[in-house]
Amino acid sequence: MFKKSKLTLIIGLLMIFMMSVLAGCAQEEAPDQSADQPPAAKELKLATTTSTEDSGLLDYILPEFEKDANYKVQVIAVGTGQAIEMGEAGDVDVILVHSRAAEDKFVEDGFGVDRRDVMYNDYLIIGSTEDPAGIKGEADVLKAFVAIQEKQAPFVSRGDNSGTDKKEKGIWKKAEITPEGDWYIEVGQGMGDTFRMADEKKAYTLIDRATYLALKDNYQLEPMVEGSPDLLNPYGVIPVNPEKYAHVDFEGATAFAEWLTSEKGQQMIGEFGVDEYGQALFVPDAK
Amino acid sequence: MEILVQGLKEGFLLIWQMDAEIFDVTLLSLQVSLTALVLSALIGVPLGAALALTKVRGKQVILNTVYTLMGLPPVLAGLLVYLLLTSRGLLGQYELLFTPAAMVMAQVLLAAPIVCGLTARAVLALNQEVYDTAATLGATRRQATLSIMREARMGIIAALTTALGRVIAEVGAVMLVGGNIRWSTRVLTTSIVLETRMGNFSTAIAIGIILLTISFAINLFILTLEKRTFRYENTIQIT
Amino acid sequence: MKTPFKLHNIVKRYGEREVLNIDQLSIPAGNIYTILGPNGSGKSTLLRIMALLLVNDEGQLEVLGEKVIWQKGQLLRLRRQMSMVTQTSFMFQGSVYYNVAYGLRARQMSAKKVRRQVGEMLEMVGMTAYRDADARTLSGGERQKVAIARALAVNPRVLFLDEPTSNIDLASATDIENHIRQINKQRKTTIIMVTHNLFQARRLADEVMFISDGRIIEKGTAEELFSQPRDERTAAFLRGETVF
Repeated sequence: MFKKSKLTLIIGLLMIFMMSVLAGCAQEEAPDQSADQPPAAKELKLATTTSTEDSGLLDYILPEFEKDANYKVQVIAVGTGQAIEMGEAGDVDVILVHSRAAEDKFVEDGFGVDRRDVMYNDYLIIGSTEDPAGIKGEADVLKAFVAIQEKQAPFVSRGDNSGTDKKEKGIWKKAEITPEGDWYIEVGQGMGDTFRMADEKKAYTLIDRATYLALKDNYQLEPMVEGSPDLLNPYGVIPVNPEKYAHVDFEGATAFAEWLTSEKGQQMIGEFGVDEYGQALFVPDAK
Repeated sequence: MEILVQGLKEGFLLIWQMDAEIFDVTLLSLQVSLTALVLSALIGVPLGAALALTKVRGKQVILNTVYTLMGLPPVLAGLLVYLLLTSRGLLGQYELLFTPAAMVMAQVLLAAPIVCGLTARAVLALNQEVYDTAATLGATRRQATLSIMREARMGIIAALTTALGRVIAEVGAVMLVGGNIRWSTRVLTTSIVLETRMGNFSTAIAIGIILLTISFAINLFILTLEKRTFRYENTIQIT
Repeated sequence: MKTPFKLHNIVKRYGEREVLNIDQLSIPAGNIYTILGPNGSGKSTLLRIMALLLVNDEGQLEVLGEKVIWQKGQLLRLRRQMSMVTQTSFMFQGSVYYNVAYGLRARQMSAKKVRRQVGEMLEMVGMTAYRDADARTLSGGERQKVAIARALAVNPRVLFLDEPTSNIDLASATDIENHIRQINKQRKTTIIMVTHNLFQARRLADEVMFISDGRIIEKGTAEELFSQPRDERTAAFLRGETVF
């Protein structure tokens, strides 16, 4: 019995070994086989925010770029803060983020060059139908925030230094309010989790339209404030400075930035989401 | 490497300066995990002993279930507690979701099976002679049972340290049911996740170091206690 | 109490296998009663039933004048008048003192009395110097002496001995046999000893019972049984022909 199981083990290990060797060979042979096909696509590392990936925008536009430019894009979807850190560390070739102030600092500090506007999406304030702060339909988000603070109505904040979080903090600042107290709930989580918690607590929260449209059917919160100029959220693309990091693929990064801002790229961004949600999730705004 | 060194430096600085927020977070971590541990011990030790010492129908199935639950994924434990406490859930009216109480509940769900299973194993490893000796010396059933537990105490302490290690380092469940709310339900592990997501790697490492230091201190405390109470413990000597 | 133990048709099975079948047995008080037999003959099973550690499947058992009904209160009351020393006596984790005090503490005796009683017992077996030693580091002989001190500390009317010297050296064994004799003489403790050691039985026993395959083959005074065995199996065992 013991012998038999030992034998099985040995055979099993041998098979794993052989398979790994074969897999190794296959990989090594790959370049030879592709000799008469077009040259292998180069890899381009893109750090971007979760919103672009979660919304499905990247899945929609990247295959087209890859075909046009013969690049294979590796997407690393993280928060804006982390995406910028990755650019500063030279871990990626290009970043696509939405936090104007942090982006400008990134360029100023010499980590990135040639920032371009790509598109914007917009945020909205959602809340329960009970609307304790009475802000439904308010056109000016600053007035809405003042009402929330005055009524001490529960407000869930991302609190994670993400682009959305920075946007929200910016609005509080512009409204000259320092949000503090039990009503102001900083959860330090992603947009989806924040939405879920706000729903559970019947609280207000600031959310990007893409996430809202994707998840709204799961929860009860409804749009309260939208369309206010302060709720717009511009995205920028920035190649990492090759003078800072010689190993980055600046050529590829520039190709990506140019493609995104090209007529074709802009058109694709503008039509994304219309089929599914009846409205575009991002508005192209390259100059 | 640079980040690691930076993290070490920052960690010591955070502790040294007694940063109010990090102090708050550390305290909550300890409160939640130690409460969960005490509750798990109160549930798990008697239950494990009872499983090992009594003849109940389907004992093997129950034990197997407990052993399986020892590997319960934290997020799943969190989800179960979440569904129980959500406003539409069975206990929704008590509004416990996103409170430390909810975090304790989730951690008990994770720790109690460990305490129970390992206690049962420690007791099952003992021989009949323990009970026989106690009984022939005139011990009551209660006294004999306590003696059996005393003989199994090394195993039970191992169960408790394992359980504490699991809950204090656990993030999935407390993130879900606690919500990582600043000044309210944020603990060390959820802080690490948050700092990492924000790209503050050295801060994340620093908090990690605080977490490890606490674990080290608790284990040191237990070890000293063990040494003092178990003067008569024989250890294997290899020559 | 003339007969602390009366057994009637006691049967014990492990699964299908019948390991013990005792039709009639009375054990008189004040004696050293020896149960003799080869390994696997059922002697330990018999002892464990009499010590109320094992429930018989059939038959009636009378212990210290009471018909045993295996009820919690009765068991405790009866067990508290008996104690036991086994072949490899189990020592609780802790000191020699902790072990000898165990039965006294179980009876909620005051700390002062416990100290005095433990001191006396350790002195009796000559283990006073080991009072604070780790009980688990003792040699076989020392361990058995502690076990005897522990068993006698509770002042039992009946002392069970299950192969008390089979795991220890000759000198310690002789020492322990002397203690057994002394206990029986001075305290009038009824001693029921299981052994497969013929010579030990001869040295100690007042009465002997010979058991094989779970059944009583022969019983009587030590003198009778050793000089004129009636059964051929006993005779063979006495001649040393039974392998054990």
